[in-house]
Amino acid sequence: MKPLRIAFFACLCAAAVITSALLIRSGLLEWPKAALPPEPVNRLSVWTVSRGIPDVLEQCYADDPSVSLDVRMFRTEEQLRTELFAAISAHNAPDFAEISSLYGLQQLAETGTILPVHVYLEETTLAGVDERVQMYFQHDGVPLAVPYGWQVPVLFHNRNVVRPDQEVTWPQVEHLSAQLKLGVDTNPGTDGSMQPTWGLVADPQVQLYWEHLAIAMNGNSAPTTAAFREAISYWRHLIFEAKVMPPLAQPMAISEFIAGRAGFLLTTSDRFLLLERHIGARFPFDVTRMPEVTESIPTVRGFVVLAQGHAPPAPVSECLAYMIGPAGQRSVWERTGKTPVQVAVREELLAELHPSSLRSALLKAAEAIRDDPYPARVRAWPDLSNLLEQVELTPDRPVGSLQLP
Amino acid sequence: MNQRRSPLGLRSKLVLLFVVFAIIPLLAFGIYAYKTATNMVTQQVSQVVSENLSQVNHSLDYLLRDIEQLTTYIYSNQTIREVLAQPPGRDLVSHYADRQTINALLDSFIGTKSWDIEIYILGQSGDTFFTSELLPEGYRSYDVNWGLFRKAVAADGGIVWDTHYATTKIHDYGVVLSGARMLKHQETNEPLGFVVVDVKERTLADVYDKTKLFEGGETILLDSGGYVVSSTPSKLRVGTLLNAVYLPRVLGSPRGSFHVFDDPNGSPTSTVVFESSSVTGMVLVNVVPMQAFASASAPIRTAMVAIIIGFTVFSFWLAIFLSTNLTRPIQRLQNMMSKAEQGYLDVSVPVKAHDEIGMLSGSFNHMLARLRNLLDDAHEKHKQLREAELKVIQAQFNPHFLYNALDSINWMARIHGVDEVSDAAVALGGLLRYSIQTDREFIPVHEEIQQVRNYLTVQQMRYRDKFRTTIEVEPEVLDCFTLKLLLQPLVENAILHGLEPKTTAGHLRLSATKDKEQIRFTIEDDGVGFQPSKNRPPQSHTGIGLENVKRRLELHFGGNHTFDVHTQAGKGTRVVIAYPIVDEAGMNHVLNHHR
Repeated sequence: MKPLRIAFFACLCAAAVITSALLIRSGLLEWPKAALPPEPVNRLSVWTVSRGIPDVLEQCYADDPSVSLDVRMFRTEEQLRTELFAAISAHNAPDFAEISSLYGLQQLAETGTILPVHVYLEETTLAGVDERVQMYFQHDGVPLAVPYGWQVPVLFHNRNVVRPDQEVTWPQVEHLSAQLKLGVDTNPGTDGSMQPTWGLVADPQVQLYWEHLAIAMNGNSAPTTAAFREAISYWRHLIFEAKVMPPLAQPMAISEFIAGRAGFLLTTSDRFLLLERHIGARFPFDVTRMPEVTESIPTVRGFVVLAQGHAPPAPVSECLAYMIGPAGQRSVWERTGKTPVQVAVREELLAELHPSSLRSALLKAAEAIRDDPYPARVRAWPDLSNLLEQVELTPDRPVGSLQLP
Repeated sequence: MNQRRSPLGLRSKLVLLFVVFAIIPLLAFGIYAYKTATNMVTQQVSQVVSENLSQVNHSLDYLLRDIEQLTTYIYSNQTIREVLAQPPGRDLVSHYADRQTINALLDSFIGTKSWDIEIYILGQSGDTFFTSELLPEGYRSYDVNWGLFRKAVAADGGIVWDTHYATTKIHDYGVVLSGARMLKHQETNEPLGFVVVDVKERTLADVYDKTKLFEGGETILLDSGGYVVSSTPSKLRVGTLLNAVYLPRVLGSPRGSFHVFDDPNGSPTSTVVFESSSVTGMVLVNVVPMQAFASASAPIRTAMVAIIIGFTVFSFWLAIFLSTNLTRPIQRLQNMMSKAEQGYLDVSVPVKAHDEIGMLSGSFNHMLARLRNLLDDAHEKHKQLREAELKVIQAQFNPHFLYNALDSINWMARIHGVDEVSDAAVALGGLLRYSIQTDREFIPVHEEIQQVRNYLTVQQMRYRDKFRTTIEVEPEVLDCFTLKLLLQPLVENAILHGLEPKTTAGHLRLSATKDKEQIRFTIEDDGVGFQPSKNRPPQSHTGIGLENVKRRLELHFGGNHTFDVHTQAGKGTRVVIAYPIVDEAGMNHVLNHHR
């Protein structure tokens, strides 16, 4: 064969190979698909009940378009729990779901669908997470959920009308509330302040406050039935004798405080974001621990990973690792108001915040939590709505006749 | 002739031509194809975005219709109406019971919904029931002249939609859209209050997040006034009037797409695709950066470049291949011509095809063959000419010697008064002198005639009255030219072979005539004649015979002459020579012409 023909075939082959390689490499055959953003490879489903968590979760995969996150928000924890059990029965459970330390963990553990934490997270990943809160998600000594934050009951106060001590007591709350001209004038004053209607309001999580009140009544020890009765009695006292707290007005509590119509607000620490947003600069407000409670029962929030018949996909582990990592923990604090479980992050935040700021006070208040599992879970209160009605609507009914835990 | 060769050979020119004519259309095609493909991608992306927007708009419409249906259910719910119809200031027990009832209803309404919405039922009597953590101040005040309520009153039971224009901080999860309906007493049609449904930004974002957002792009939901109801990924503009030059265009048409230019004279920076909802009037806008199109069409560009490179390489090869194949026979022919030019006339170009090149090669071969024959002929003639000249030179030796001797004899005869001897010696000397003049091939006719006269003078001395001669030459012939020693051999032949054997006296006649084209010599005698085939006249002792004359005529005039010998035994011989008029200056021309 002549050299020219050899060169011809060589050129032809080279041209064909180069063209083919470039065509394949460029994915020309798939250009209609290439015109669109890539389709995600991993689709993860998450069920949560905490506002702000979807944003934190989205940050986990912000740089990874291969992961599509399907976040389902539930209005209440009860709804989530009910749906979750149904989904587990139908073998349609999400990849991971939010859980509270107050209830549900034991029941879920009994279904056998919760994966132990060590299956999807390295032990070193959990290093730095406050060991006190890790204990709240242990079942028979095995960690079953990854905690990402917690909240505790705290007492917010409108500094325009009340200025309690840092270590506030119930008598001081009662006294300061009584000094207010309650219900006299609800119109804004010239200085922007508003004369409150009530001294103290509490949001609907009353069983939590009764529990802490009972602990306080029992000298910060595990409450007894007598302590509960004493706590209920004092609650009634605030409503009917001191008349500083409205009966059955829990749904309006936060609205009243935001509107400047209450001096004190009994709620949980994570609500500070809501209060900051709605109060803005209308009046200064501050926070203290719940009166006379030296160590609160934290409501620890975390995620359980549900068994799907196979090992959890890598993005699940990555996301949970992110949530308890420095960036995730800061995001949890900023977007959910929950106290970070990473000790180092809390210390950093405290170092960054002004010592007299609301957020600094919140972190300090939330820091004091019980380090024993008891009472890790709020006891099973009998029909809270009915009990609340009996407590706040029938002041003459003896406390001893109430069915308490 | 040595011509300067062009720096670019035919093959190179052909290669260049092929490459240029292949690459220019290829480039043009590539650019056109790329532009077309890019336009197609742009159209496709715009279409996909548009379809997505339509789908999302349908989803938004569905969501809002569902919310509308929810308010309709609340509007028509008897229990809620009865609760709201309660007089103000009733006891706490009754109020608490009502709240429990309505809260249970509201929970059942939205408990199964995954939407992030809140329902508020605001009674004229001051009762408020809601699913939210708090009651917004605007709802608590129950001012029928306040924006949303005023619109609801105007709608008289119909649903109205309103957006919240307060700037919402990022991550506030604020309410961005509210639907409201006035609740009325079933019988009296008196107003009982309002039901308000607040839609959180996330609820809307969850719907339009389905629009595939390109990197750097954004999706914006506008109300009919151009205010940003919701946006993604940035939430900073929520609640503000959209600050974009294209806002009037978006609000002025139900759907469409257009390019946005930061610089009017520059390239577009993004494409805006929008569609408005026929239900709510809200406009969903998707801004797609041009970079998305560029990255989408990048594979096409790469493929096009690859194809162009591939085809350029192929075209280059094809050009070389074709031009080489086309010019190879020409090159071969040119090489053969060069060799022929150098004198190698034995070369031959192989003819492999019967096309023009093949025919040219064949013609070249034929031409070479003919040239070889002509050269052979010329060479042979030249050789013969040299031989004839050599013989003439050889014949000059004796005349020189004899001429000198005759000159001495002449002078001795004159001294001794023998005039006849002197005349003969002079004539013989003239003959000899004439014969040794070899520098000219052609001489004037009068010189040749004089030569004949000298010869006859000598012969007259020998033969005395044996024959008489007559020379008749037309005057105009005298200055014409003739071959040297052309006539003398013929006269000699006539004497020696015609008149001498004759027993009686004979007559020799020489005439020269001229017509328009030819000179004609006639030498005739009335001698014994001869048989042309059997008895050819022998050559004279001088060596210049008839045959020699004939060959000289052929040598100089080719076929364009006449040499006729007419003889008849016992009656005589007549030789006629005719050839074209030759003047000395044009002699070469005549020779070349006839060669």
